[in-house]
Order: sequence, then structure tokens, then C-alpha cells
Amino acid sequence: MAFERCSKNSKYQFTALQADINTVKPPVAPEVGDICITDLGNEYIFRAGAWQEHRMRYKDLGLVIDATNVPAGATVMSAIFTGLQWVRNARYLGACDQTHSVFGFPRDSSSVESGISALGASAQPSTGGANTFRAYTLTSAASTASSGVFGHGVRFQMKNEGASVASYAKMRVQLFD
Amino acid sequence: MTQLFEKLEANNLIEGNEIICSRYPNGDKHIAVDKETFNSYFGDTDGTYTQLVEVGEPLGYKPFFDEWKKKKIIA
Repeated sequence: MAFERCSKNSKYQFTALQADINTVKPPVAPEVGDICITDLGNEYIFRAGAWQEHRMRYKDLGLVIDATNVPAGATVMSAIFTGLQWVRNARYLGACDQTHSVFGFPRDSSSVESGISALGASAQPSTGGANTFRAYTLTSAASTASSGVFGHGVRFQMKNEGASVASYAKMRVQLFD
Repeated sequence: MTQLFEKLEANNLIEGNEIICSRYPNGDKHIAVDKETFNSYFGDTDGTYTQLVEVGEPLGYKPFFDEWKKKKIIA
């Protein structure tokens, strides 16, 4: 599949090889809002002069962790979420009145937690209040990739890295596929 | 600490390297602390309720030590 303009009846305006996105000039100039589908099934939207990853679908897990009086050095965990399909990215919102770190531990089909912790922003300083959330982007501890694959299931965790008890420790998560 | 860890294990409060402070109603772990962190705070105590609370109350551990005392895990 080369970089091509689609017919007017198509859902997409362009098709392209994944490697050609932002490296090869399309046959005709795209307009803002045009959607391109690649050979790997990824969708891109044309914005600000470039193709940007187009995330239309997401799962919102809502309230995941809502704990009070978490001891210093202790970790509070969410329930285990299973039955997840292909999840490429996650966005955390966290609120804690102590320095803390957040994790998402993927699980394989045998419910074994994988060895690599999916690490969000670490050493978060104290925030303004119980409902002042800070956004995190998932980052793999093993690489600088900005997305992570959860696959079959995941458990989220928030660790109190401070030297005092955390009055509150809250996390909400959105998963993007 | 070894003796305390053995008693915690006998009461199903150790999972791998973690001490379970509380569980969800379905039995899954909710709040836990790893043994190394626990040792760093309490390793110099004699493992009795009094000394554990003296060190642990400002850190937020007293409610869990109260539970352990009720279950006769610590004296």
C-alpha cells in the first residue's frame, strides 16, 4: 500500500505505509482533519502540518483507587482488571498529599504479573488537595516509549514514597486502545 | 523481625516479599508494604506492640499493629 488518496466514498481520506507517515509526501495535499489509515491499522489525523496519532476510542475505568491514611512506604492497590483487549496507552490522574509513585502492572493470560513495571511519573510532590489531580502518562520502565501494552489484565498501584502517612491516595485511569 | 515475619506468614499476612496491611473483602491485597521498607522502619525495635507503635504511629502503621495485637501476632 503506497501513500494514496482514497475515493470520496471511503471512511478515510488517505492510506499509507506506516513507515511513510510524516516521511513521505502524500500524492495530494491533505486538509486539516483528514484521516489516514496505515497498513498496520493505525489511524492518523492531519493537524498543524503533520500526521498525528488519532485516538478515537478509549475505555474509562473511572475510580480505581481511593484510600485514606496510607502508611509511609506502603503501597495501595486497585482491584485486578481482566478481560482487557489491546490497550496501547494509559493516562493516570493521581492525587496524594505525600510524594508518591504510580504503577500499572500488566498481567498475562495466566494472571502472572509481568516483570516490568509500567511506571508513571515518579516522586510526585505534594499536591494542593484531595481533589487536585495530577495527570501522568504511562512510561515503560524498560524504555522511553510513551505507551504501554496491558494485554490481558492490569493492577494499578500507588506507593507513598514520603516519610509520613498519606491522608489520601486517589487514582483514576483512562485506557486508550 | 524474622520471628514476626513467621507469625505474619502463619496468619496469611505475607505474600511474596510483601506484608499485607489490609485486604479487600474478596481477599485480594489492598495495602501492603515490602519487607525491606518495613525493616528499615522497624528493624531496630524488639518487635513488641509498644515499640512498634512508638516508631510506627507517626508513619501511619498503628491501626495495623492494633489488629496484629488483637490476633495475638504481637504482644
